[in-house]
Amino acid sequence: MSTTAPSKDPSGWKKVQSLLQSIASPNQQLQEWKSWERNLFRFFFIFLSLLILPIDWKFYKEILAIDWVNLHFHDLFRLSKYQTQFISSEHLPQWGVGQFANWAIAAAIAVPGAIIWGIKDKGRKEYNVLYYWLRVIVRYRLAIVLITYGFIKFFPLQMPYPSLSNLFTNYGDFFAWKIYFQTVAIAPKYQAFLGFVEILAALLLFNRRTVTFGVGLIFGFIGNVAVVNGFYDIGEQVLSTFIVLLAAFLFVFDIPRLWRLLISEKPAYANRLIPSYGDKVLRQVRTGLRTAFLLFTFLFAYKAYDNFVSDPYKIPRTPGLKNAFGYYNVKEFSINNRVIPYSKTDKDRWQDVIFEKWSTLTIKVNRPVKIDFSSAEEVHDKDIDRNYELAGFAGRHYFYYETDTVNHTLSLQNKNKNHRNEKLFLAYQTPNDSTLVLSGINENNDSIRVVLNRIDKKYMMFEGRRRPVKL
Amino acid sequence: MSTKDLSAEITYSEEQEPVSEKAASTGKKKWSNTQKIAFRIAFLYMLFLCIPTYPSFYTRLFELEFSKITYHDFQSIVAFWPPQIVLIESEEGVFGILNYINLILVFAGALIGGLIWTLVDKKSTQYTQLYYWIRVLARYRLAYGMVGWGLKKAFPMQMVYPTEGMLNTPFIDFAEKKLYWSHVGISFEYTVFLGFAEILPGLLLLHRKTAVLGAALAAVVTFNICIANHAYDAGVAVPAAYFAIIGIFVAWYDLPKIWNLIVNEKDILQPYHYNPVFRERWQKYLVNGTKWTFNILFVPVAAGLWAYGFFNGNNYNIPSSPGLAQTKGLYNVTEFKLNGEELPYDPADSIRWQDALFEGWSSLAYRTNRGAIADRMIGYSPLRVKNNRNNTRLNQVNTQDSDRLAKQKKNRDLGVTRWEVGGMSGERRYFFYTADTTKQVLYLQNKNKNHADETQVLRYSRPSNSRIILNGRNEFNDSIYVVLDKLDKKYPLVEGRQTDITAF
Repeated sequence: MSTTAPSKDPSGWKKVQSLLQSIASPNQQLQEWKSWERNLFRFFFIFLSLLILPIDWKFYKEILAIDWVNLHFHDLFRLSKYQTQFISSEHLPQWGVGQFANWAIAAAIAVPGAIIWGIKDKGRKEYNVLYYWLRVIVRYRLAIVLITYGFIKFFPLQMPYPSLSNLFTNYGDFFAWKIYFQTVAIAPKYQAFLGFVEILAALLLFNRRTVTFGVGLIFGFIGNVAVVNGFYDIGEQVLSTFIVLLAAFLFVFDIPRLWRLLISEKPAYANRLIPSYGDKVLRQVRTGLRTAFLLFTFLFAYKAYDNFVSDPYKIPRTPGLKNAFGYYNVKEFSINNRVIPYSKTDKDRWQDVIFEKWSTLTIKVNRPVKIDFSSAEEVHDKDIDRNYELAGFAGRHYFYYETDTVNHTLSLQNKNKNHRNEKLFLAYQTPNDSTLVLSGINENNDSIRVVLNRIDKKYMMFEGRRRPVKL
Repeated sequence: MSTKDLSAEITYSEEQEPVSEKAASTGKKKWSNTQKIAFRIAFLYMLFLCIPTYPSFYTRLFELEFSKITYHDFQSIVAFWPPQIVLIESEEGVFGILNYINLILVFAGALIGGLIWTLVDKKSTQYTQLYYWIRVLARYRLAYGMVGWGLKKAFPMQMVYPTEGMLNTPFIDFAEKKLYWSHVGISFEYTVFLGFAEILPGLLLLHRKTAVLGAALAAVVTFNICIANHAYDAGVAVPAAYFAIIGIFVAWYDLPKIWNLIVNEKDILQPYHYNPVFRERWQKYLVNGTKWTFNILFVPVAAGLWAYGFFNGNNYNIPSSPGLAQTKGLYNVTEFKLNGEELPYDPADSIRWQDALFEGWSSLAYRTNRGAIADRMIGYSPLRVKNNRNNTRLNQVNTQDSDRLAKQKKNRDLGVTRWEVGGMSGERRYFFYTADTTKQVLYLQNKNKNHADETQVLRYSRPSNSRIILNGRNEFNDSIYVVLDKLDKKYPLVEGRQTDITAF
């Protein structure tokens, strides 16, 4: 294979080569490959290496941008998702085949690459050792992304429990992806189970001999995720397809022998290439990388857990107005001293109001919402920017508020990036436990006065599960 | 490993005799005592699990009328459940660990039976043949079950697209089971995909050589279904676990070999499989005839019946009577008079409609601030086996009887209520109607089985395309006058994320 080396430092390259080759004992003769197998291998070697190996300067830019002192689990999460971007992902379409442009470029490089490699490496009979190394790279690449996705489900961060406002949103006002997320989110234990399966699959990939079983789990569970991504517009189509592609690549190794064993019912031969790490340098590199993987796993698990218990990143942090959490009927509503009775059609008249546990207030009013189309996956420090609670929904208007507990005032600002200019300034009174009176200036500088009555009733989601109910 | 070893092995494989003859000699190998005892227990367990043991299965089978057979009948054949020895009707018994009591009791029975067998049978040295036949039984039982379960998704019926009513119901007013089912139903393609995730393992199980793959897939899929059913209290955790147990049993036969080959990295030079040899012609005919009769019945014929039902208005979750032309949609209640007196909109009012909607089929629904006894969509399968319709506290078995109604030549729609009405709070009431279009009268009946006595008679007029005026007697025999105006409502769920519309 020396002929394919970038010939700058042939001796150095040779050294690496002989190191890589040293896992096979020198007199071990490995089975000859057919020519189509060799061609296909050359293609996939280049294609997968291009997408997996950190050859993209943007990847290093991301690493450099991380504040390692205040490391957030999400920094590692983003790194684990990274794929080589010949074209930066923001310049690609969000939907359709266009998302896969970087794969197309990698393939476009890999085809001529494989042809040239084939010409230069004519005498070659097999690539068993290189195949082993490619599988190592693929296994670890896959394991890392499964670890991160596994832990953000195991500690239900990816799909946090729906907010009260989310629960009071009509089914038709959700985008499909949000319904999927919220449905998983109402069963945190199930989400943790799904996370556990991903972590288990990653650990099975960590060991060469259990790879097949890890791949089986990936097909069964993450294969499903890839399909869901396609049909529910979840927005991680490229990554989830990548995971399935890598798993399929790993499985190819086992197909011939399983076929012989089960279908042809003929003798089946186990893996011949049992790597021996006799070389000291290679052994150290291996130990180092394995340790690094385990350290990464523990670090990520710890950081994810820490985020889950202290400040789940998709949920605002500031506590809401004391004792206000709940769903309120808007009993009275007046604007510029004119009373508007209950109405589902009036553009100004509030219909109901929800105070979240955190400092978010949401209003139902007959005014269209420009939906936040994002997936709200970014980490934001400020509560007003934490948009998971409103991304992918219509139906309600979401306001962040700051409370002045001395003067009993709330200053509100619309959280939706399309409606950020809406600001309200309201004084609040609590004549009794279940009543809140808000008065002040609304987003159009009209003066409003609102009497809110908290509604305590039973709901199907909590009551109807196991008992007969009348509601 | 040296070169010589490897090449020697390869030639060996090429020159090897046909496997079956080799196997025949291996088949006489003695089993250890532990193997024999374990087999006896497992054999009896699988036998009890895979043969319908309750009489109603057979009575219903013989009562079938050929001309009236539908996919429901096929489904009730392949969806039989293991013996129901006891019935624990507590909450834990329906949803929790006690739900598994019958699977455990049957195992206890198999254990005792296996020990008795051990005492009686001192001669047998191995059970290779018996093992083969019990696997045949388990394979086909699981295969037809998986195909049957898959077909109700491949032709989406178990989960269908949300109704107008569901689109306008808040998340919190759904039972968790309903949410779980609906989130599948919102994607037709995904539902079909899930159907094939069950059908494919079923088909693989039909073939001896691919059985292990099918069984392993079936076990993974049904295990996930089991966990999800617990997470959402969706009611079929035990049947799913039951399928998973059979799947593990079938896969068990080949697993040691696969484990040795892949994990222990050992060559499997004699992949021994016992296959019975039929020497007599009648044996071959009998075996092939039975096999192909069942295969054809439970795969293509069953699929055909599901397809026929799906394409011919017999979807068990979608009513089939068309609604009034061009009425489908959500309506604002612009005006509402009760006994001649106008009631303004008030979210607290228990009589005044807050909104109304027409489905594409003959349903009129409206929302008020008044509860109803909810149909919780809970169907606990083993109770269905016992045909116990008395336990309404934990179980609602009789809300889904469209097939019975259709066979009695009655309108099936009043038996197609579980998806439209079930699993949601009762504040929105769903009425089935028959329309007399000449006299312009709607005769309405509440679709909630708990309130089936509620009927209304309403005359309708349509002064414009978007306005419907109803007046007549409501379910409390009061006179009402209602003006409905259609809302031009766009749903994000329907429009989708890949849309140009930005405001909803």
